[in-house]
Amino acid sequence: MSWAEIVAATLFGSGAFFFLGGTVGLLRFPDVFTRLHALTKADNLGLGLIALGAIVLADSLWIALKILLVWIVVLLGSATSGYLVARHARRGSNSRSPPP
Amino acid sequence: MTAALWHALVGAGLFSLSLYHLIVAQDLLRRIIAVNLLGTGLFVILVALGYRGPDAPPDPVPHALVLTGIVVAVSATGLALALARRVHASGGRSEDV
Amino acid sequence: MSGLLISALDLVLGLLTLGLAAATLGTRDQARMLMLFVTFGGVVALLWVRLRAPDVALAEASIGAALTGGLLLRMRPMLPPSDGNAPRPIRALAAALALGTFAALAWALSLVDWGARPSLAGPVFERLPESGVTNPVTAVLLNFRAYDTLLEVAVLLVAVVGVWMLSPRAPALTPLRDDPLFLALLRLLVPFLCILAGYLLWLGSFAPGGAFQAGAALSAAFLFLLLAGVPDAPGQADRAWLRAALVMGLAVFIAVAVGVSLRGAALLEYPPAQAKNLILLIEAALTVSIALTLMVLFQGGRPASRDGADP
Repeated sequence: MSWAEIVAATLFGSGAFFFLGGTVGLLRFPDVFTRLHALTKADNLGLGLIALGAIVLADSLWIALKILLVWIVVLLGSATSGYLVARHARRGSNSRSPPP
Repeated sequence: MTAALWHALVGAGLFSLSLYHLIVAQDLLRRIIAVNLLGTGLFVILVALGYRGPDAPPDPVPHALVLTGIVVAVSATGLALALARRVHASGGRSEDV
Repeated sequence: MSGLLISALDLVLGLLTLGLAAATLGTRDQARMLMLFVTFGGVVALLWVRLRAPDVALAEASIGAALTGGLLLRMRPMLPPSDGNAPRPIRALAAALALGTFAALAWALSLVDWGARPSLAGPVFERLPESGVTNPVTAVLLNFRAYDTLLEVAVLLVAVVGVWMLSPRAPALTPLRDDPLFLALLRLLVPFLCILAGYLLWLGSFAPGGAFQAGAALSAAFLFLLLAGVPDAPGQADRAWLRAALVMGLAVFIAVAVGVSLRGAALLEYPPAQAKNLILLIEAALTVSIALTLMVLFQGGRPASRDGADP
């Protein structure tokens, strides 16, 4: 196992940890806002770590840049959609979640 | 058991499970989703039949078929949703459909 | 060939797929059913990657999960749930039928000689140099079996006509016109999606991608413009150019088919020297038509005509 593989595996592992945390938050937190908080924060960090791990293993700079672009676009999309969901929940004055 | 056979069996399971819900469901939206999952089950069987292990190139013909199938499925879903809206708008019960 | 034992990843993916399907169809709540359906699509996309079908994975993630999910979410408020269960004897019969189907399929699949299956990969790779492209899936879709794709595009057009006839007035869409953050995202994402569509279209000739994936990306850009309430966005009004663009893919496809057959070839038998250009021409037209078709399906009906809409 080369150094690059060890670094990548560590990054993948920590990324998966944050994804797990975000998912636990999504399932366990009581309302829309705290759930969004868990999802947007933890999952974006998890994806970032996994993207970094993939960049370490990438064959060329071009592929590494594409992976970075994927992460940036997901950051933009999830930040805005998280905000839109929160806004909708607040305006609908129904921030209560359905019973699990 | 090879990976291809396992995935083909998963596809068969998807097909049968969706078939049951397609017949039993009263809700039109649920029926439309059941048809979608049923199609996915068939797609999985097709692609699994073209799978040649992790090292050999797979058969591209089932891939092209499934790609066509996915696009036809979305158009069928759109048409089915328009039909379902008409059924609801005309006060029809989904049981009569 | 694959080993005798399946890997843990295959096992987990398969069980996750089945579990998500069972949860999707088993839950009582409609909203939860749709969310699980989208999740299911995402997991199936991973399954396609695992089965070495990246073209299918792209289509599944963009069309099967995202666009179908959006379509279902949009129409859900117009389809109130109807409660009640099928009578017990019918449920028992359905269960017997489903179990019987599974047993028959499993039996048939177990009879397949998985070591030496008949395959069309050989002939496809043998004739690939004549097809004009190097991605075998694109070669099958737009050259070897282009006839199937031609009919598929016709099916898409029939679906659009059907939706417009069933619903002469598209159900209203509440635009997010006033939202600064959404509009800021749009300014970045819409041009990005247009470039992505062009990139996927170009990529399709030698790597996973092609007209369908490109059309899905472009339709996302159209949907963003529609959701933002941009007045001149495609689909805001029923105009002649919209209808022309919807038909364009099929029209170009048929024109090429007739064109090559006039030169004595079979219906869609391209001369090898021009095959790449002809495929790209068809795919470019298809991308626009598919993107607009997916947008019209999302709208769920005919947009207001120009004269009626303007104050």
